[in-house]
Amino acid sequence: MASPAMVTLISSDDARFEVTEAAATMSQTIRHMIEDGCTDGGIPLPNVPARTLAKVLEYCNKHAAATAAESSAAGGAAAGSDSGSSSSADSAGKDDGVDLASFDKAFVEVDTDTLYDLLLAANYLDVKTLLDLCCQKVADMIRGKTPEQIRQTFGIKNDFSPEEEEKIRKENQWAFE
Amino acid sequence: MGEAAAALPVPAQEAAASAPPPWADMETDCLAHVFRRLDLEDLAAAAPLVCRGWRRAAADPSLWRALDLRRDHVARFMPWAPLAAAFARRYGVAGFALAGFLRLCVARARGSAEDLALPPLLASPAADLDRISLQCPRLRRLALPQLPAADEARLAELVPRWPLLEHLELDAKPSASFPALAAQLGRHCPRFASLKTSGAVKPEDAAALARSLPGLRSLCLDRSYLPRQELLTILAGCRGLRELSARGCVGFDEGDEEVARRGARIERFDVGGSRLIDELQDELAAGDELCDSSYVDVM
Repeated sequence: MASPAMVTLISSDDARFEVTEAAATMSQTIRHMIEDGCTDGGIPLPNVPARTLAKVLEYCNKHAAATAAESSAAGGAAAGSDSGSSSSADSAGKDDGVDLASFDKAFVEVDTDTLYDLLLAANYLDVKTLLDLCCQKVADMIRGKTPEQIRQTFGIKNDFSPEEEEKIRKENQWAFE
Repeated sequence: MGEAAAALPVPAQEAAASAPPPWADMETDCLAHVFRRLDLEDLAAAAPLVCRGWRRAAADPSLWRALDLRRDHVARFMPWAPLAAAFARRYGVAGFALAGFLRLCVARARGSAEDLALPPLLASPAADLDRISLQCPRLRRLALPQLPAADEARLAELVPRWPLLEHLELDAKPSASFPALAAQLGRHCPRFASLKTSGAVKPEDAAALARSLPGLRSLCLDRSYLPRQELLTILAGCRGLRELSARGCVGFDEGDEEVARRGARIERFDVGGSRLIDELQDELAAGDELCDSSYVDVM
C-alpha cells in the first residue's frame, strides 16, 4: 500500500504538524492553499494556536480515516467476491457510523474555553462538519436557559445599561396589544 | 492511523494565564451559525437578553427565515407554554398569544421569511393571512391549517403576493375555491412544484390540477376521497410529476392496473392502502371519516 501524501501545518505559535492530505483538506481553507500551491515549507495557520490545531486535527484524522474505510468497504462490496464478505463489510460500516457519532459526542464534551477556540478555528479553517458539531453543542448549551443562566454558563457579563434594559423590556409589547 | 495527532509537540506555555473566552464579543457571523440552530423560543426570549453582542447577532433577519409555529405548538406557543411565562417576566407581556408571536417573528424576519407553518385553530386566521401575505414576500414554503370557508376562498387572491412559492401544504383541501387557487398558483408562482393536501377531490379539482399545474413535481393527496377517474385525469395532465402519494385514499383500488400503468413513469409512486368502495361512495363522500377501516371491513 502506497504511503499517503502528507502535508505540514504550522500553528500560530510555530508548532509543526504532519498530517495526511486527506485529513488536512477536510479544511476548505487548507484545500484552497494546497490547490494554490502554497505548501512549500509547510502551511502557516496564523490564527490557530497549537493546542487548538491539535484538537482540530484529531477530529480531521478520525473523520478522514472513517471516510477512507467507508469508501474501501463500499469498493469491496461493489467488487462482490462473495456474499459473506460484503455483509461483513456492511456491518463494519455500521459500526464505524456508531463509533464516529460517539467520537463526535465525546469530542465536544470540553470546557467552554476549548469549545470557543474550536468554534473559531472550525470557522476560520472552514471544516464544515466540525463547525456544525461545535455550533450544535453551543446551541444545546443555550437551549431552555434563562439569560442569566446563559451568562453564567459562558462567563458573559451583562453589559446593558439600566436604560437599555428598560427599552428592551418594552420592545415586544406592541405585538401583543 | 492517528499517530500524527498522537505525536504532537506540546507547547510549553500551554497553560499560560488567559482571560475567559470572550463569548460576548464573538464575531457576529460565528454567533449567527450558533443561533441558526436555536429554537424560536430561545432566539426570541433568551439570546437577545444576554448582552449587547448577542443582541446584535440575534437581530440578524436571516435567523428568522424558517418560522415553524406548527411543530409541538400546543406545548410551545400556547399561553401555558414556558415561552409565555418568559415573555411575561422579561418583556412585560401579559397576554401572550400565538398571533402576537407570529407578528413578532415576521417583523424580525424583515421580509426574509421563506418557510412558514401555522398550527390549527388560529384565533383570527384572516388577519394572520393578511399579515403574511404583506410581510412575507419571499415565502417559498407555506403550510396552513384548515381555514374557515371565507378565508379559504381568499387564498387565491393572496397567492400573487408569494411569487417565489414552491411548496404549499393545506391541511384541508379548499372545497369550492380549489380550482381558482390552482389557477393562481399556475399563473403567479413559476417555481411552484409541490402540493400537499387532503379532502374530496372533485372532477373540477382534478381538471384544475391538470390544466393549471402541469409542471407539478410532487403531489400528496393521502387520505383523500379520490375517485379513480380523477386520479387518472391528474396522471394524464401533470406530466412532470416525480412523486405522487395517494395513500389511504378512497375511490380507487391500490392494485388498479391502469393506475399502476400510468403511474409507472413516476419515480416515487405510492397508492398503498387505497380502496375502491362502489356502493357506499356517495354516503362516504358526504361523511368525514372516509378511511375508517372498521367501516370498510364491515362491508
